[in-house]
Amino acid sequence: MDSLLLFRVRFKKKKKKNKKQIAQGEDIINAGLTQLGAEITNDEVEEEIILQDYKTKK
Amino acid sequence: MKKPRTIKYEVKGILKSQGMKFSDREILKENYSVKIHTLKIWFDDEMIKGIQAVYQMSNGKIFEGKENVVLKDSNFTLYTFQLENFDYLKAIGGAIGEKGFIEYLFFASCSGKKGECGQKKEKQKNFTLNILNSEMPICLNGFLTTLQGKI
Repeated sequence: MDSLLLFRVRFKKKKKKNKKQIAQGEDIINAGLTQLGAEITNDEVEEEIILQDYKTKK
Repeated sequence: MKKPRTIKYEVKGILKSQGMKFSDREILKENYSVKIHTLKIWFDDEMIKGIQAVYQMSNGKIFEGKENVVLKDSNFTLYTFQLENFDYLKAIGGAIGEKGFIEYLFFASCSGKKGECGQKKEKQKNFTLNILNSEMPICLNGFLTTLQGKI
């Protein structure tokens, strides 16, 4: 009888521990990049310099 | 350095309630005579975790933009897309997953160099920054989201 009671106590404790673990598992962190952008220019002077440089080295 | 005559702002993706907006304009300040020389991207099996641009000034000097990475981990893979001094970035695009995170990115340069990183999957929504032939990106920006709790 005593051993059965002890088993029940142990079982209850184990069950509580499992519940705690599940609760911790629910704290999911989802993190990352959701938006990407850029400043874009068509500044002719700047582009001309790069294009000239590109043509020369090619 | 003088501000370009025309400058447009191109942004793709989702702005969430929890997170942090970033722009290298905070670092570049009034420097507009720059080009993106290198892009560094951190990613894992699920999504793009962060991005950093390295800029080249008109005098040739290299200038590092801010490292925009969320919860940086040693398990992240680092991908580097580096351009030659004469080359410049012509295309930036990618794919957004069902949860709204950017999961894949691709790049192309004027000389035809191509690069890609992340995971290309089904049910993703593709996007491309609208960069015309006569244009080039000069400053990077975006949004890093951190969601906590039940999803």
